[in-house]
Amino acid sequence: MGIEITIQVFAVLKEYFEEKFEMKMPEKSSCRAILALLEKQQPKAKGLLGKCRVATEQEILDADYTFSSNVKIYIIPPSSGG
Amino acid sequence: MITPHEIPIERLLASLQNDKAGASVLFVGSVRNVNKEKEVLWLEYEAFKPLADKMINKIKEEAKSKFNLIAAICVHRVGKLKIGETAVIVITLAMHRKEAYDANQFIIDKVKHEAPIWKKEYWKDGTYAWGHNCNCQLPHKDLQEYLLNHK
Repeated sequence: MGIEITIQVFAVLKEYFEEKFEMKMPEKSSCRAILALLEKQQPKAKGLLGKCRVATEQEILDADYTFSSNVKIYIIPPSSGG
Repeated sequence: MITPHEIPIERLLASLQNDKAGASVLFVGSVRNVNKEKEVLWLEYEAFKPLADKMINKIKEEAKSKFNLIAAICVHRVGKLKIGETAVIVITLAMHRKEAYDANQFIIDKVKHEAPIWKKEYWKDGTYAWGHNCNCQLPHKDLQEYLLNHK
């Protein structure tokens, strides 16, 4: 049985993905696995995704953090504020 | 703090008045008209506000502790900004100038590199690029096409 991951992307990632979309993933999928799947879906974004972080509204998650239930996550490209 | 509104620099400075402060440092980041020898028309900033606000607060608290600050403020704008407009400000108050200067640089450097804020630069030659680790180097697209698609 899998889980449903709702994903929102920002900035340059919107050149490669819809701003919000959903993916089915196996339970215990990690942030790293989610980014790898996104790379498969959009190989042109591979270099960029390698520099992205996965976050909730509250924090940046470790690459090995795993999800056990449906969740909304945010893919954070490299910052360029200032 | 992330805001879509003009940053009220003087009001923010006045709000930090403190008799213990011997030094106040104000950094103002403005939109300049050239980058990598290309003429810039305007910028658009985007942020993931819930997380950006939280991270900016954390960076300020870290700076206050590390540099023994009396107070600190950091405000970053989002939306479309014209040349000369203020994109970001950092104000630091300390008893002495070294702490105020060092803390100010610490805050702006960390905010630029860590907070989820992104810059999109529009150039006079009709192309644009998203900022990428402070360097605009990603896909150029025809500006006219972009504007047509985003009316």
